[in-house]
Amino acid sequence: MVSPRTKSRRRRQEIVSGYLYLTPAVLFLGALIIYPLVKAVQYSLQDWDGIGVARWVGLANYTRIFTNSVERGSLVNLAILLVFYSLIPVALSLVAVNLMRRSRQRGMGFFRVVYFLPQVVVTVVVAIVWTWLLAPSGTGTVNALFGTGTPWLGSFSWALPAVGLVASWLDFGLAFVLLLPGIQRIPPEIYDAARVDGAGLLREFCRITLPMLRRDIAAAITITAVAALQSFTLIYQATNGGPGYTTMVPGLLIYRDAFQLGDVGSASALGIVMTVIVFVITFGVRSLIERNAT
Amino acid sequence: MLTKNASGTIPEWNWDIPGDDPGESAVLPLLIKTVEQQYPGLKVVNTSMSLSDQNDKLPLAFAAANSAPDVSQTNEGLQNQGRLVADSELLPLAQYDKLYGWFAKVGPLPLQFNSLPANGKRFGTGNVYGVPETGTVVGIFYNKALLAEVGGTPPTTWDQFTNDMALLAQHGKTAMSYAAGQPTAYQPVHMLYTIANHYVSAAAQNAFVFHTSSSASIDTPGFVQAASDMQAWTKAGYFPKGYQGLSDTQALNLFDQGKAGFFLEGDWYSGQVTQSLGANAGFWVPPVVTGGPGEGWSIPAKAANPDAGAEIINVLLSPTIQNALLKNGDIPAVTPSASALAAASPTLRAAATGWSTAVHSGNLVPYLDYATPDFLNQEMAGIQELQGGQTTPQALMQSLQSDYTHYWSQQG
Repeated sequence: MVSPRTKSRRRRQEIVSGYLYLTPAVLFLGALIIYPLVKAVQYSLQDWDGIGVARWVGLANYTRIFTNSVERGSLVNLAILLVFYSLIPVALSLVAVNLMRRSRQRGMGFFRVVYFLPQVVVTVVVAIVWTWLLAPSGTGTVNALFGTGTPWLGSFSWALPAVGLVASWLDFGLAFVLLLPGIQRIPPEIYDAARVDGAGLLREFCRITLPMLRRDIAAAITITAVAALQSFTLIYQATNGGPGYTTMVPGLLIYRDAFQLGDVGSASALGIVMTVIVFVITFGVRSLIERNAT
Repeated sequence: MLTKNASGTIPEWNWDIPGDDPGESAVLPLLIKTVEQQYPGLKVVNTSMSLSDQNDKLPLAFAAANSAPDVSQTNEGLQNQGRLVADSELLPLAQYDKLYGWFAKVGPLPLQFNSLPANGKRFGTGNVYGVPETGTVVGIFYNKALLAEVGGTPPTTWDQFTNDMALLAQHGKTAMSYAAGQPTAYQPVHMLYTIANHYVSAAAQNAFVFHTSSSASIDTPGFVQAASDMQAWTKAGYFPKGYQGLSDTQALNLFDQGKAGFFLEGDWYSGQVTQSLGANAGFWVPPVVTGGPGEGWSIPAKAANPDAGAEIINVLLSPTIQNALLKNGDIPAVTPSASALAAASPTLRAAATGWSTAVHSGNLVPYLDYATPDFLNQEMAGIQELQGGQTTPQALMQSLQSDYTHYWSQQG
C-alpha cells in the first residue's frame, strides 16, 4: 500500500519534471521570440540608427505611421492585399474542394501537387516569372493573350490588383491543401441524408460543408493573412512599391527604414503595429469561429 | 618616396572582381607587372573582393598593423570611407600629392567624392582620402542610321537633340528607349538629371548634393522646368509604349535592335551598344553632365609600407595603366593622349573626352541622389507620379525639397 506521503512526493516530482520538460521550449521561445519582441518595443520608442547612441522619442515613431501619407497608404494597401492574399484564395479553394469532393476521381494526388506547386517555388522566381507574364508586350505575355498593351505592373490603376492576383495564385494552392483533408473528413452519409431530405447544392454547402469546415477555414484564413502581412519579396521584386507608392506595403517600408535609412526606431514601430494586426486577425477569426460553434 | 632598391611584400586590395568591374579587373596583372619591374625587390600580393566584403572587412582589417594592406580601394560615401575616416584608419593623401601631383591630374570633382572631414560624418568637403583610376558619365547614345532616316543629325547641342526627338516621333519611331518598371536601375532619375543639366549649373547642383550652402535647393525654376520637359516628352509619346512596365535591360535591348533613336544611360553600356549597332552607334556627352569617379584608392593609416602604397597609386595614374583601362572599355581618370583616344571606339572616345572636358571645366555634376539617404526612393516614386500625371513638376520639386530640408535640419 502506498502512503499519502509518498503519493504527494511523487506528485511533486511530476510537477518538477513537467517544468523541466518545458524549459528547453520556453528558453527557445524566450530567446528567439519574446526577447526580440521586447527589444523591438524598446527600439520603437527611440530614435536609433542601429549603431550610435539611441535617443528616447516616446510615441513619435507611432504617430508618424498615421500622419505620414506613405506609411498610412501602405496600411491601406495592406488591407486591400489581405483580400487578394487571404479571402479570394480561401473562397476559391472552398469551391474547388467542394467540386473535388463530389467527383471522387483518380489522380487526386496529382492535382494536389499541381495546386500546391506555387508555394514550393521560391517567391523571387514567382515574381520574376509574373513580371515577364505581365510585361507590356512580347510573346506569351498576358497582353499577347488578350491583344492589349497594358503595362500592368507599371500602371497606377492596375499595379495593385495585378500584384494581388499573383498573390491569390500563390496562396490558392496553400488554402486548397489546407481545406482538402477537412472536406474528406466529413462522412458522405451526411450528404446522402441531406439529399434524401431534398437539399440542393447550395443548401448542402451552407448547412454541411461550411459549418463542418469552420476550423479549417479559420486556419486557412489565419495562415494566408499572416503571409499577406509578411508580403515583401513579391512586391520588392515586381514593383518595388511603385508606380509612385501604389503598391507600397509595410514590409518594404520596414526594410527601407531599417537597412537603407538606418532608422531602426521607425522600422520597429511599424513592425510592432504589424504584430498587433496579426494578433487582432488571429484572435478575431478564432473568436468568430468559436462563437458560431455553439 | 620609395627607393629603387626597396624590398618586401606589398599587400594591395581592391573590389575589381571581373563581374563588378571588368575593365579595372583586366588591368590588375599589368599593374603588378609594372610595379615589380620598377622595383625588382618588391612583390605585390593582390586581393580582389566584392563590395559587400569590402564594407564588412575593411574597418576591422585596417585597425591593426599586421592586417592592414599598404594600399586599398575604398568606397566613396559614409558607409565605407566615412567609417574608416571616423576611426582614423586612412591617411590624408595631400602629403603624397605634393610628391606626385595626383590631384591636378584627376581634377576637382572626383576628389570631392573622396573628401571627408576628420570626423567622417559627411562627404564632399575636407581631406582627400582616395584617388580614383576611372570615371563614368551619363550621356546619350544615338543611332546614326535611324536619325538619317528621319532627316535628323547626330546631336551636338541640346536644341539639335530635342529637334531629332521631335522628328523621330513625327515619323512614327520611338524617339527614346526608356524604362520605368522593375527591375530597373536608374533610368528615370538619369533622364531627369540629364534634362536638369541643361537648365541648372553644375555649381548649383553640387551645392545641393553636398549641402555646402544653406540656401541650396532643388525647388528652383530650372529643376521645375526639367520636370516639365520630362512630363511633356512623356505626353508627346517619345518613350516606348508600355515603358512603365519595362526593365532597363529591355530598354537597352530595344535600342540595340535599332528600334529607337536615342538611349540615355551611362558610358558603361558603350561596349554593348557598339557591338550591336556597329558604325551606327554614337554617344553624345552634353556640356554639363552627370557622372562620378570609380572607387578611390586609399592608404591605410596603419599600412606597414605606405610609401609603397603611394607608388602603386602613382603607377595606376601612369599612361601605361590609364591607356590599358581605355583599351578595356573604361574612362580613364586622367585625360588620355590623342593617340590612345584614336584607338578607342567612337562611343568610348566621346565618353572619355566628355568626362575629361567636364571634370576640368567644372561641369561634372554629382548624382543628385547622394543628397540624402532616402532621396533615390522618393525621386523614383515622384518621377513615376510625374509621368503618370499624378503630380505636377512644382509639387514634385517642393516635396523633394521639403524632405531634403528636413534631413539636413536633423544633421547636427
